[in-house]
Amino acid sequence: MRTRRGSDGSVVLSLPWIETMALRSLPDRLRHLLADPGSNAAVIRRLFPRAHADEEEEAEYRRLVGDELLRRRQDSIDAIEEALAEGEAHRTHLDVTIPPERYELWLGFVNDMRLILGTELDIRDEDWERDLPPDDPRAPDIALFQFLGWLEHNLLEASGVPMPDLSPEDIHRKE
Amino acid sequence: MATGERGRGAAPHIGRRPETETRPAPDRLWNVIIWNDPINLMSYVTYVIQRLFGYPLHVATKLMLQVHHEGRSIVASVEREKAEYYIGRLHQYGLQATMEKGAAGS
Repeated sequence: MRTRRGSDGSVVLSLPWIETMALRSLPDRLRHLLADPGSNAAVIRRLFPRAHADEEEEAEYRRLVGDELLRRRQDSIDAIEEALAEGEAHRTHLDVTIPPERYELWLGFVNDMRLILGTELDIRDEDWERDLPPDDPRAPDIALFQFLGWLEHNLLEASGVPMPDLSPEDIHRKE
Repeated sequence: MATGERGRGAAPHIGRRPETETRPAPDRLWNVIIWNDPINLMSYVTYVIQRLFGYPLHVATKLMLQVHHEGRSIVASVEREKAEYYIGRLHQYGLQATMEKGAAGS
């Protein structure tokens, strides 16, 4: 995978075909989840977290923004599917152009898929990768989760927004 | 009520409560809180804070690291309506965020 920033602020994503296939499989996964929220309550809770501790306040918040949060996710599905369908096919890869106004739909979709997979994989701490057995039956989703992390990293690097330069001490400092 | 409105885009100072644009009485302020989670990337959280609140990189990084190490960070103290807006946007970005009425000194 490679990303580059076009002169008009768009991001061009060059995806090897195997990564293109992986990415194409994902919009349906989010679509099915949104169409049938009861199918996975833990994931839905993670995608639509609480704003308030108070139940009454929370219900009011849901009433105000619930539809918008759902619509945004549906828009992101459309944006990804359209971009993949309109990509420029090469022998080894697909070039996908993400215009500036669709950049955050992409970023949000990739991040949502990480939240979905990460919740399904029951990732609870930052060291979850350390002791994975090589024959873990969840290997396909783990690989997909790692791929999405790499894709998100690449998208962020191409965003034009400065990224933090963190030292190991920044990350591992303990209180 | 005193207005302490900053110019748009002015960089907030570290150490000072961020985003107190119109400075209503403290009991009318709501804290916007981002909570730590093991899935969101540190770079992503820093990106979101910069984009949404307009903070420069070093402020966003400091707040992100506070979330990472302490489990949560108050990223803004604003009037209710604005807090609701920020929370909706943070949820759009997939961050765990809540709002609570600000207590003095919190």
